[in-house]
Amino acid sequence: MSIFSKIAQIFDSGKNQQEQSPQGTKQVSGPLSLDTVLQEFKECSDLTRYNFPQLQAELLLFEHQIDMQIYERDVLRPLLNIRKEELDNLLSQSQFESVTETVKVVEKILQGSVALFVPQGVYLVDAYGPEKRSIEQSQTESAITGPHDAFNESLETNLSLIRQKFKSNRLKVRRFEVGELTKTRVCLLYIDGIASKEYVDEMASRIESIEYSSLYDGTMLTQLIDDFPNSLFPLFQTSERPDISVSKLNEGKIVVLADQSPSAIIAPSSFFEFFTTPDDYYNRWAVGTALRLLRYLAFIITISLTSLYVAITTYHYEMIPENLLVSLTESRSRVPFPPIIEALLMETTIEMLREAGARLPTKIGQTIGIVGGIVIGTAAVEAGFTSNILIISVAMSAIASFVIPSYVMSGSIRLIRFGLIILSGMLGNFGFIAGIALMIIHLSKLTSLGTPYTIPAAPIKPMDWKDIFIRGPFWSFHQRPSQSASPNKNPNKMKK
Amino acid sequence: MLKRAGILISFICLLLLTTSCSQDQHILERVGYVRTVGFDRENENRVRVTLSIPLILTEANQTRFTDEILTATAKSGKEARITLSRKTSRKLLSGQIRTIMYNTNIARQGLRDFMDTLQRDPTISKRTELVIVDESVHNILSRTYKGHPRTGQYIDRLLKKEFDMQTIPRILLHEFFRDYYDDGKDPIANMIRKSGEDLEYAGVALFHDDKYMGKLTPDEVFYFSIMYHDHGKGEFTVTSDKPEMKSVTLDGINSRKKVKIRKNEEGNYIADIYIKFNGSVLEYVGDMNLTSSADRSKLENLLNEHVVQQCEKVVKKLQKHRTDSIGIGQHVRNKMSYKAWKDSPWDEMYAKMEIRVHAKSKIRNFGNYYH
Amino acid sequence: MSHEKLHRFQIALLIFNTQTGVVLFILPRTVATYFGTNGWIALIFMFLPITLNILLITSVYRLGRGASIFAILKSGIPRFLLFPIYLVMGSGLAMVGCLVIKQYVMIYQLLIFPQTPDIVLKLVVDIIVFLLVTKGIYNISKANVFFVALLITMVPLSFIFMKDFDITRMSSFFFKEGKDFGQGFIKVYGSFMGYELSLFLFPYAEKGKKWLKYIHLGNSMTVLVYLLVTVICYGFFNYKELVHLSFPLLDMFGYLYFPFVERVQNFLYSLFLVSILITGGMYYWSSQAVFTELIPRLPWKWVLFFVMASTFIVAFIPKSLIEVEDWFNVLIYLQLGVAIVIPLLALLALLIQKGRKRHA
Repeated sequence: MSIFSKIAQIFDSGKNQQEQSPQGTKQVSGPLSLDTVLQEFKECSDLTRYNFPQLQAELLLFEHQIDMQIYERDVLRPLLNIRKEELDNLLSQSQFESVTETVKVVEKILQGSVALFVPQGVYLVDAYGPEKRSIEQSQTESAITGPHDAFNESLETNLSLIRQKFKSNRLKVRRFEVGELTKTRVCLLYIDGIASKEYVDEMASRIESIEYSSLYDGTMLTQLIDDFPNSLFPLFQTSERPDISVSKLNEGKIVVLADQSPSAIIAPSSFFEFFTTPDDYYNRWAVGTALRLLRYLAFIITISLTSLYVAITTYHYEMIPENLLVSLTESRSRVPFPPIIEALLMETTIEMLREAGARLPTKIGQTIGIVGGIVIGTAAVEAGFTSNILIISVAMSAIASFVIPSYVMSGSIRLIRFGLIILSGMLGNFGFIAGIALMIIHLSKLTSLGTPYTIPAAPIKPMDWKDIFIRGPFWSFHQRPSQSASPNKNPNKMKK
Repeated sequence: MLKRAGILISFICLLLLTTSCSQDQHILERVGYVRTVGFDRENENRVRVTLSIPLILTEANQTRFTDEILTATAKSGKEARITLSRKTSRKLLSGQIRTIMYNTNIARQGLRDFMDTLQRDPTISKRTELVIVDESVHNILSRTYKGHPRTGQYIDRLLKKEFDMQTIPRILLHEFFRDYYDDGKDPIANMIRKSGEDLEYAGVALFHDDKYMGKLTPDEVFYFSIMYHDHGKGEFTVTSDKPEMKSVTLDGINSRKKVKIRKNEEGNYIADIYIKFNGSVLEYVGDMNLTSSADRSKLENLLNEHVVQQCEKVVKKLQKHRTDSIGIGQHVRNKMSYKAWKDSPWDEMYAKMEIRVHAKSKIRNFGNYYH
Repeated sequence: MSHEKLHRFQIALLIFNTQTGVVLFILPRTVATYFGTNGWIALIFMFLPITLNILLITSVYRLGRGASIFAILKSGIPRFLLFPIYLVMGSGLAMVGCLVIKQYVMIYQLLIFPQTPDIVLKLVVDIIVFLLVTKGIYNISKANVFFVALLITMVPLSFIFMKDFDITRMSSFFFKEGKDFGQGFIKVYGSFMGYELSLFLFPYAEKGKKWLKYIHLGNSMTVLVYLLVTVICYGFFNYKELVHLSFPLLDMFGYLYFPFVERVQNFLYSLFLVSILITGGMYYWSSQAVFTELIPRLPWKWVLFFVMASTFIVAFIPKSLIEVEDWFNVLIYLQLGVAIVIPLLALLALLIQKGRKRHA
């Protein structure tokens, strides 16, 4: 009892200390002047200061935050070419914004504005334009057909990619700022008249209520606005591809973009949406359907194959058909461990290989693949470390797990697989089914932005099935998915 | 709070599971799964049980496949299993039993006592083959056959192949029990025998209830089987002394049988078995030209005659043994009222019953040779 | 998500899955034992009384204008009378839920885990049921959709048996050699039990009367599946053999053979866990609903916990499958009571209420 209370005290005191310690920027006091601003940026050696003695003007800026062209055109050249009398005239131009508060000046300089200190007052010129990556193909969601462009880390670029694909004034963008320190800009995109107002407001309030000092990526943002932060499954789809975002916007969903992140969040999402890719729509519908079914098959294989191997070899030897029995027994007879240890060992090895390969440059990654595949695979069997049928099943379920388009979902499913293997090792088929039942129970509980995660299977929405379980032909899509609760029912007509 | 309690209980449960379920583990390579079981009569109330268990020995990089043969005398099969398990390094399990063999001496006195455990033990598959052997089962099981798979596998595969070819009726435990319980049908089983250095199919064992009554020779089995069930494939050869049909081999047999029951004037039941079959000629030795339709129908008639004659011979034999293996009784039963069926002495009726066979053949084609 | 309503089709599936369970494995034998030759026809006749019973339940909903059964009962019947009724009903329903799981687990023990104590297996199932039921009825119904989907995949397997199905084996006699039709009627009626839980669904269903038809749909699905299984069993085995088979359906599944796996009865029987979860879960949920009405101050999850914990202790008493079946024979009457007496009582309560209003 006393120990618990002490621990609690320690935790509580820690919290208090944290609360007391200054976090974020201090409240700036004092009148606006060059000195107070400079005081704020004390020891920021990357701050650039320019002096124009004949004009009695001073410039403050972060050179790496601004677009040099704009800076030269709008600020530098005019200031160099004018006389003191003409300054008033110049300052009346629209790019010069007069400010009176120190806080704002500091904030704007940080956001890429040039601050001009003249006797007339303080003016800001927005010249934001930091260095950014050019638009490239997505590494994690590469496309075969269809548009190849992907979001990058710049919010402006990402917005422009969406606007380019969606030329309508109905596309609305709400702006937020998340993170006390990072002040990451977050944009909430939706289409007026198609997206449900209720969900937009819900999303907006969730974003506004985030209390976290720093935000670096969209995938991180999803976890901050999740309905069930402890769930194994990702509750919002994330994607780097603008075409996904645009099609989801059109379905009446909400897209959230965070600055400095190539991942767009799509909300609300259903479990089954993680098994769809835009490529399905660029293929003929029969092919698209086949691919989709293949992915569901891969899902079943990846969670069940190794577990069933463990269940059958541990408990249900009678289920093995005669032709397989001898070869299976033969390869198992050299293995010193029970099947569950054997399976966990191999599954862990494969996960390690995958993790090692993911962190290494492509060229070394290939070597890892060869070492893992050939050396460990073959040698493990020959050394009597595992049975070759297990190797096949582990490899197959690993491949199947990569068929699932969403990287985040694929990770969740691989983790579930371990749970199922352990349950199968303890209780055979019974454990396996119990694990599946637990997974289903967990899935049914989940919601995404308040909507059921397992829609359209449960609750049953048969009209949606043709765009979730199969990829129906385009003429069959008469309505938007029921999950988005769109006020506009017909996707092919935009009535007021 | 509730959540925490749940987690705690789950944890305890997991611990319990790991400790308690491990007793029921049957890890594949650590158990001895019996493949073949054989029963011989030793004396009045003891039987000799022979088990054949595949053994895979792996030492270093060498793998050796053998069959472990265990034998003991006991009062029952399960008693023998307990005695035998003392002799082996592995736990004996019946989940992979493929074949159960009985000596005719046992079968003649009735299999009822042996059937009990076969039905009771949930690990024994209903797809196990039931085989009756005229000679000592122990002798058949305890030796190896050169040029063939290991004995247990050999018997299993031999029968499976024949089942798949549909040359013999597929009799597994399920079929045997089913017909045993049916009051309008008697069960049958397949037989094998040693033939020189090989094993071979030896015909059908006929049962009345659970007692072995007699057998059909392999030559008769085809005619029995087209009366027993419909064929989707299979081949058979007919030979005779007639110059028109010295020998015909039909392949791709497709047969349908139908049993019709009627009453004659005296009130006795008469069974008509209609057999319709077709096939393609694979070999024909005779003086007719198969391209002519007249000759073809002549051949068909000859075939009909032959099949009818052979089938009636088989039926007579069945009636002589009082074994209603074709299930005429089912059809008679379905014609009667419940009271009449219960009151009628079916076994007597069957032995005296008039059973006629009608055959109608059709030659689908006569192969590549246009003659 | 209290504002969400149960979709009517989900109610049908919920009723279907509550009705089916281990009973499916035993039903062909029960039918053969009590109704004899061609006993499967009895199942068709059974459809009528059950439909009438469901009509009785739905009439309560219609007349009560969608009020919950407890509200209806409270409005017309004094509390001191309701108290013992609730107590018996609540504990009875909990016992049904408990025994359903117990029976499943004991058969599992017989088949696969002869050395494992059945109570350990039961604990596992109980924990899953607890997790399921605490998610609330709406999420139970969602999970149930997946469970039914898993179960329905077994139906196509029945086509494989068509090859071994012979109509001549069914014989031309009807209901001969059966024993005690009355007992059989009650037993078979008992195997359809589960629809009576729709009484407790009133406040959770969507508005309107459309969903009432879906109780019938759920029941029809059950009848169809029962018929399918029983008819196939009659033609695959024969009725005399059926009498001697403890679990005919398992034997039939055991005959299945695929090139990559055989003896699938183990796996398919394990798959029935999802049916047991719903059957047991729904009974526990209903029991919890009754007890929460009795002790409204306790949070319903705690009520459920106590109900499950106490039945878990009771479950130690029956030691054999036969004992469990004997217990069931008693509980069937209680289920019948819930299915028939409670709706009648509710109708009475509505009448009293109406009478009072007229006088007032």
